[in-house]
Amino acid sequence: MSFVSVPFAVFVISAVLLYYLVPVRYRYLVLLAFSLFFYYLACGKYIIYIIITSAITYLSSMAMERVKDRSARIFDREKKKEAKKWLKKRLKVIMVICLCLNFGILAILKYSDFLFANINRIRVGYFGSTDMWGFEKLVLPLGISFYTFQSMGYIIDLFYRRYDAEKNPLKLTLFVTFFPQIVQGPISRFRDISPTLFNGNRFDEDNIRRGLCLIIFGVAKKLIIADRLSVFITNTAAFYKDLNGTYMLIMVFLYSMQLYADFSGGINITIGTARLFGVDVTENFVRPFFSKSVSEYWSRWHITLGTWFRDYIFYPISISKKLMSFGKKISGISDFLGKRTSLYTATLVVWAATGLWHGPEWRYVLWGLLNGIIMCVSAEMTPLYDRLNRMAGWKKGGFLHRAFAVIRTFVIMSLLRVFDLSFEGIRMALSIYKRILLKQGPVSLERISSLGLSTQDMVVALIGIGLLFAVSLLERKKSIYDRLMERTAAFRWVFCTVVLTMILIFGSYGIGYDSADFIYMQF
Amino acid sequence: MKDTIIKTITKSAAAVLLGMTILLVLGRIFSPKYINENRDGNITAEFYGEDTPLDAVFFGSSTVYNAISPDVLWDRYGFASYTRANASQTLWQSYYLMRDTVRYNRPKLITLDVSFMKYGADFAEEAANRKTIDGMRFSADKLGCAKASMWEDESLSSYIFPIFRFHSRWDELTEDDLRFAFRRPKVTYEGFIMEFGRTDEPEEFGKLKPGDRLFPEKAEEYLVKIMDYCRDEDIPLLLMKTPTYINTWFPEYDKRLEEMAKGYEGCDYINFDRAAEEIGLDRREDYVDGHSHLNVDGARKFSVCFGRYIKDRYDLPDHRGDDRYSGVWNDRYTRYCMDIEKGKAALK
Repeated sequence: MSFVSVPFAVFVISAVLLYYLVPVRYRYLVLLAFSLFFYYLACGKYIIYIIITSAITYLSSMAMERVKDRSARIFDREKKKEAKKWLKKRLKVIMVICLCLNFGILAILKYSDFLFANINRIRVGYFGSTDMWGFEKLVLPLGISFYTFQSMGYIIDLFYRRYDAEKNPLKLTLFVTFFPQIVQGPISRFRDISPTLFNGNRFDEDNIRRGLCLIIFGVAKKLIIADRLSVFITNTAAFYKDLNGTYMLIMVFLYSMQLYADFSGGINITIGTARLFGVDVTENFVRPFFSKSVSEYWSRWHITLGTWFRDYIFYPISISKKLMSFGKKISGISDFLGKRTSLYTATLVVWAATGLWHGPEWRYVLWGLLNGIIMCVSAEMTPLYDRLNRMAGWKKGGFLHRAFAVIRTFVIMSLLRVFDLSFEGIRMALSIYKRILLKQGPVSLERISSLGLSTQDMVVALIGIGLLFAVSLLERKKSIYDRLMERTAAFRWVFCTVVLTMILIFGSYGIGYDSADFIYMQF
Repeated sequence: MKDTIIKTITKSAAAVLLGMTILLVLGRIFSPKYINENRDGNITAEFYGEDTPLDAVFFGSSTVYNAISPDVLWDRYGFASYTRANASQTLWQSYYLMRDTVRYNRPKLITLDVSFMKYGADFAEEAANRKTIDGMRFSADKLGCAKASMWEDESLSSYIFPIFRFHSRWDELTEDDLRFAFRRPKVTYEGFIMEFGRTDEPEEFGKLKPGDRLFPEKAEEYLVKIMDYCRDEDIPLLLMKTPTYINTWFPEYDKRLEEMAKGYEGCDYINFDRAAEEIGLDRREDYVDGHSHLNVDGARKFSVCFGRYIKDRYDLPDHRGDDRYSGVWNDRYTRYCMDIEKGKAALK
């Protein structure tokens, strides 16, 4: 069931009506029932995987609670010290088992093909083997990367004793399966979402208004911009060998816009849908194309994934005793390298993992590593940039300096996205880069049209992108929703009517349009 | 609390009403108008403008709307009739249109052309579906008709709100789309569509394979539904095969239809292919589209013969002396004759 479909609208309306009709204390049960039903409709029997993950997470959390209780019952000071050690050890064991089991499911379903393909390549290349290792083609359940990471974040937080475990298994299952965020995140933190998710929210008109507005914005982004560009981008990537570098550049920049409109539009729908129930879901985007550096970009794009990796991988690695002592050893050889060992090692590990999270292919790993490398290099080059700015006469933080930094970041991030589009692998990406650098040429509107973007469609897409940019500019100070609320009710009704009408007319949906799934659904 | 609930319900109702209005208005503007070409797209909707009680309604596919002229039947026999046939109208579409028709204007006789008995569940043509169903007024029958007819890429919601289907016409809208959004001129002749061309030689058209000698399951299922429905409504049903000059009909079909009709009181079957000579149809003068349809001359000949057949058999009344009918129907016949003259003159 697509988020932008009539059945989904009917599904959500039914859920909202039922949610507010049942007594407050049972409302979470309505959400749970609808979430499981949604997942069943999407995945059928593969719902078993998310139930297993929920069960493992719940049992582990309960085991952790029991261990904590046992330790808390010791009052003797001497014994308490020992108990603390014992507790930490036990919690660690439980956490590791839980991580192994849940990540194990993810690894087998999502990464075993990749692993076996690489092993087989080595076996064939170096040992002349003819038989191939591997599983039969496995089905990847919807949102597995998102719900696995969300559950594991919860378990790791319990290990660090950031909060107490949820004792109600149904509530925990709801946390894992909550339907608006199952398709493409965001990856919520238990502490952030649980109060509004479990406590049964009373009907609040503002929640409904805000939710509907977000949904309308999301659908507009998805249908007017993202899906309109989708066919052109898919075709241009498919026929890249026949096209010059200028087409590649157009593809790359339009893909950046498509991806943003698609993903942020989907997140708008997610947050909006959750808001209809009064549930607060974390924002995943803060105007990423206004970032002045790659690291800033990643603090504004898919924020919840970035913070997950930062909190659960980057910090533990960068402060790990082993890596610190390794850094000290390196300092003996080079002070410069020694100081940076743990920071850069953690950065590269995180980015390789981020790449792998996006897909079990080397092109994603390389894409992730390049992001990490650019960040490390940028950090080192900052003094040089400052000097160049001074030479150019640009005031640091001034308009020209900011504009240059924003455009530079947009270009870098767009060019890195070539790896996303290179479905044939790294070679294809290199070939696209080569075309961009060496094979520039003329572009014709007819050719673009034959690739799936007619002149009229292009005009609509560009106006849509322009409006997106304008809204982003407006949102620097206040959200568009808050601005809307400052206006009269009549203005709001007219505004929403106009946007809805634009979606109905210019949306890419129905027969004659190849409406695409959300891009991040595949991750 | 009570005030809040009332306020919320009022606002929600207003929002729903506004949304529906937008959907319906946009649907009207963006739907194809079928005024200057593909006029058959207006057959279904024009029926609702019929204000005289009907004696007979003819269902079937394009072979019917090119073959039976209600205006000729009026002029020759004085009964009021309507052709409710559409391009590639399947048996299930005829079934739902029949139910829809009876609700608005209950006829004394229903005829059904059986040419489309050859096509089963795998037959689906989106353009034809839209022409047949979009014109239906909203009802359970419309939904049933859409559900039974849709192919896999179509959605039921687009039959309720046509904007979901036709929004992509935004870059081809013309002045006509606004002008005729809410009121369209009458473009058919009581469901009849004029064809002025001629075909000399039969074409290899829709040639059947030997395995096709049985009717598909879905077609038979709906024929049974139609027969049951007419029996329950106590309306005589004539199953008929309009004349075509192409060889796509097997004797086994006739046998099966005769068998089925026998089981129902008030139901008959006749194949007018066998009476082509008696009707006076000339294969060089009276057919179009590779002999698959009749032109206006063939239609006049066939209508005269067909009208005599049903008038005698079903005792249909002559309203020519009745003022409630004669004013309207004489004007219609005049318009029909004038447009034939115009059409023929344009061909020359």
